[in-house]
Amino acid sequence: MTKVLFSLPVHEMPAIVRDQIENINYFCPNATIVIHISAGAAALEGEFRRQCDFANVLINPSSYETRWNEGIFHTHVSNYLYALERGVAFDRIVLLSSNELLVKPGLAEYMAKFAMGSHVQVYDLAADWGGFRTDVASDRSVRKFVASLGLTAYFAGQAEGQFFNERIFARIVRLFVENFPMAPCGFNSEEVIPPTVAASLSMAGVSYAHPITFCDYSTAIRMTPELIDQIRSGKGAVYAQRVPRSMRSPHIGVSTFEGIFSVKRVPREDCELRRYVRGLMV
Amino acid sequence: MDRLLFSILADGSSDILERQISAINRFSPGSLICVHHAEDPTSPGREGPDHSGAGNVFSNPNSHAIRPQEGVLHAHVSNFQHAVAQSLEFDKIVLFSAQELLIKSGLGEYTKRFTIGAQTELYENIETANNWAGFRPEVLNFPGVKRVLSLLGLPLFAGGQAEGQFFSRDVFAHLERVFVEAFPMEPCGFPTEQIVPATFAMRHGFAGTNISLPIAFTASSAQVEISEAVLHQLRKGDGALHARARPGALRPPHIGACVLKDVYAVSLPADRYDIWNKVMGELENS
Repeated sequence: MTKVLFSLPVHEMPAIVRDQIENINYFCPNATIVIHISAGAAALEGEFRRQCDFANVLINPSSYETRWNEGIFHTHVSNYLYALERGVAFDRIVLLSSNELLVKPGLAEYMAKFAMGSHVQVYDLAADWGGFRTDVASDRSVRKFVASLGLTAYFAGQAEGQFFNERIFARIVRLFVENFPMAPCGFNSEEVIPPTVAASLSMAGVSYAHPITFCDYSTAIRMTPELIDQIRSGKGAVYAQRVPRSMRSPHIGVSTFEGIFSVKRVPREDCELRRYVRGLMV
Repeated sequence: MDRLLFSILADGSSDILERQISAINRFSPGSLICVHHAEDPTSPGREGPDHSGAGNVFSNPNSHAIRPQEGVLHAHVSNFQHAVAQSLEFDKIVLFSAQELLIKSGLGEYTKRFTIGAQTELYENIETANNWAGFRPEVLNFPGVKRVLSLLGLPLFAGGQAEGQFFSRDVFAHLERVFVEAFPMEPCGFPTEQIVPATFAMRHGFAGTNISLPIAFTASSAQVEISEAVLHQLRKGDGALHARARPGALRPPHIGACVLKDVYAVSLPADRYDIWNKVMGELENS
């Protein structure tokens, strides 16, 4: 059985994080969850520890600063290192966000078929995605990182729901630590570092799946119970126009529902959508 | 395993057509091939290969006008009509231009898993250099397009790569009825083959049908050349190819995703056939 490690950075709402843990434990039992609490939420650490008191949950004692839109990959790196320190054995690590929820079982079996799941788009200024930035492309650390992979440009893609086998993630972590600080980098490092490594590996013949999270933020579509039902059915596709300057979703306009296990955005509050997902956990 | 009908739009070169047919018979034996020869007002007699001895190749007796960039779906529809009139037995129809060559076996087994193989990019009017030139309000307002959308109950059309699209016989029969109702059997002024089938596929995707991608790899929409290395990777099917899109082109469906194992043909201009010959020759010798 594939052992799964979820890396989950959080910054607010301990009770909602508990809800997410229960959700993971229902749909992906026997997984380990390692939680990074943002430095800005240090005052909530006690409450997080109380709410997240599960046998399979590790609270990362390192709390790094996080700033919106400036990169949080260092928190996933820290989570990975802490899991290693605690002797957690895993086959796949999954990068989750705190406003998504799993909606169906079978994730471990699905991921076992792939070495990694990532969304890989080559840096292209002709696309209007805000993730393709000239200042990032010319950043000295980014250029060194890209060159170390034998590439000439960086790649970027959806961060949520990426997954990697232990060996590939170890490589990603090494490359990150060699080139970037354990701090916000000024760009969405979680959207750049793993996809760029995935791109280099895929050029060498390693295949990747799509990320396992369906996100609603880059198109006109909104997450609803009906959409969740369609995702759970695994059939068909959804089509929606892209929000200007947003990334092209890996899951829009193609039949990828079979490989989607998590949905975003689910508001971090007791809402109809969260209750609907809870209702699936019976 | 599906029995396939390849709908080919010949461009007048008998050598190219012979090569296409030979590749189909090599990698997809038992398939049927229906060839449409474009109407040529300057030449009353057709010059082309005689396939009377080849039991699986059918020349469409109807020759419609073909004009670049003005739509060729009517020719595929005509091929389908001819195949049905000839009572040909097939499960799926595969749309080929004059440039596609099969590169590996197993297509019939692959298509069996899907009702439709098509790229479906929803009409988008964001002004970027990468937005497809076919996403234009005047196309959306074209009477035939409006008629198709009305018949399918959709507000917008989709676009997609034409080469290598495939459809079940039932779906294409529906498409044929709708096409004939909405369009003349002639060039329509926009790339019908990139819009009407993709829009049909989108409708089926909405209704819960899993849609595969077209089975042909083309370099026309990405900044990539089909080299020997690319052909080898396509045959192997591992990993991914990465390249920037060409400005104004449709998003390349097979670039930046691990879908190469589902590619069974390449779209090659005539001056690149030596690459296909070399790689396939190596295959024979190995």
